[in-house]
Amino acid sequence: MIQTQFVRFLQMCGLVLLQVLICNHIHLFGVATPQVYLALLLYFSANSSRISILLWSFAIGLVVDIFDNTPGMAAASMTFVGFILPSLLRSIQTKDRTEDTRITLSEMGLQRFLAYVLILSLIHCFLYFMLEAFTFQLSLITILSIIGSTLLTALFVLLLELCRS
Amino acid sequence: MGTFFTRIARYSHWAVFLFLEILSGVLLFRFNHYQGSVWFTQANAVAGRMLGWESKGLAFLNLVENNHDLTQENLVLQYNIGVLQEELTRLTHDSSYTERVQSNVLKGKKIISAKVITNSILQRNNYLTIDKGKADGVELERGVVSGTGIVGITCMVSDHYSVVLPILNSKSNISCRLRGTHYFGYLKWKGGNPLHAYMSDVPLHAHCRVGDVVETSGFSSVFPPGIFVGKVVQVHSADDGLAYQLEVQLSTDLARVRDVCVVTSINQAEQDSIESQIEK
Repeated sequence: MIQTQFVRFLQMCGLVLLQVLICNHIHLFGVATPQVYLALLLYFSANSSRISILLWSFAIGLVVDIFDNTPGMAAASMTFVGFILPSLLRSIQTKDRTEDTRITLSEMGLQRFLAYVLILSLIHCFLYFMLEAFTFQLSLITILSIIGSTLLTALFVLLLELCRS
Repeated sequence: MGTFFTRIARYSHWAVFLFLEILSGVLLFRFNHYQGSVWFTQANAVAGRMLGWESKGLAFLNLVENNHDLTQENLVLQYNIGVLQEELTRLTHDSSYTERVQSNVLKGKKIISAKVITNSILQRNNYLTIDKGKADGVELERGVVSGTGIVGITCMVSDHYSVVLPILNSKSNISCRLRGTHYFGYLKWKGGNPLHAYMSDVPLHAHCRVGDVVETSGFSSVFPPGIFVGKVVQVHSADDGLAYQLEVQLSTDLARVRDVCVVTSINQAEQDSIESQIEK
């Protein structure tokens, strides 16, 4: 148990470093920034404790916020994604698989993996940029940021997964 | 009991979720200037609207009291307006041309101020009674003027009262002239409108116009010359075609005249006696 949490901590540190040192400096076309720390959510399985998922996603969001100077924005959106993650996991899993299946490229296949990551990053980016704009009127720049960052985030998470496996 | 706690435990992640989101929200509004200001202004707008509703409601509930207060205030203000208007009329009148002329005209005259105690304007022959008589120095055939112009001539004098024959009497016949040109004529009242009298015997070459000022001529020795009578409002020619018939708007509204003065020149008795000698 403690080992798992320690591993989780190391994963978090690695992702934060990656995000802060590299990804935060990417502003593709001025709109798209990869939010690679989202990958932490992939390391949870369907039977992880909901509370622990929430706490970890809040924690990584908060740390990224501190480095990014955007207190609360990433934390809020990551917490929400962490909240709906178990339901999403359960809906995506097929019945013949065991409960403890992890979300990996090798097990899910490229298509399903990509779809899953796209859904997660879309939700996250939508919330993140809506909080940044903080208005209900969608401006063009907000829409472009959401779409661009979603695609770029999915791409980076996929690359990370490829490196890992 | 057991199921209760399991149920609570099952939904505990909701509490954690809400707590973390609220925490994020606090951080968001506390440390981000833009979001904080938006939150603040939007919250303010909501608060402002709520307060607006509240004050509207309270104002409605207070209407009865407000009405009461306003009525009282109105009373006080109306009273003040009355007092101030009186003051204003007094002050403006004092400095008016007529008044200045009158004060000049009345120099060297003995003036007895009196109050009108009975009055009529609706009959063909109207009379006024004033509260001064022989005891106060009033004599027969003395001019009576008010602050705004002539009123009439005393025609009966008792010890303490006098009856005045005002302009509004068919027997009244006052010698007048046009201010500036000094053409003279006689002022007579023909009944009807108590503000309009007619001036006759003004020659046609006098070229009088609407708006010309009519004043006393001083020929009759009852009135000193130059006392304001009224203004010409319409110019007719007389039936004989040799003179004007001027319709004059009287400056004194006899319907509401209250304070008058009886004018006596100091040497009036002497003048009277010398005139009577000539007649003999």
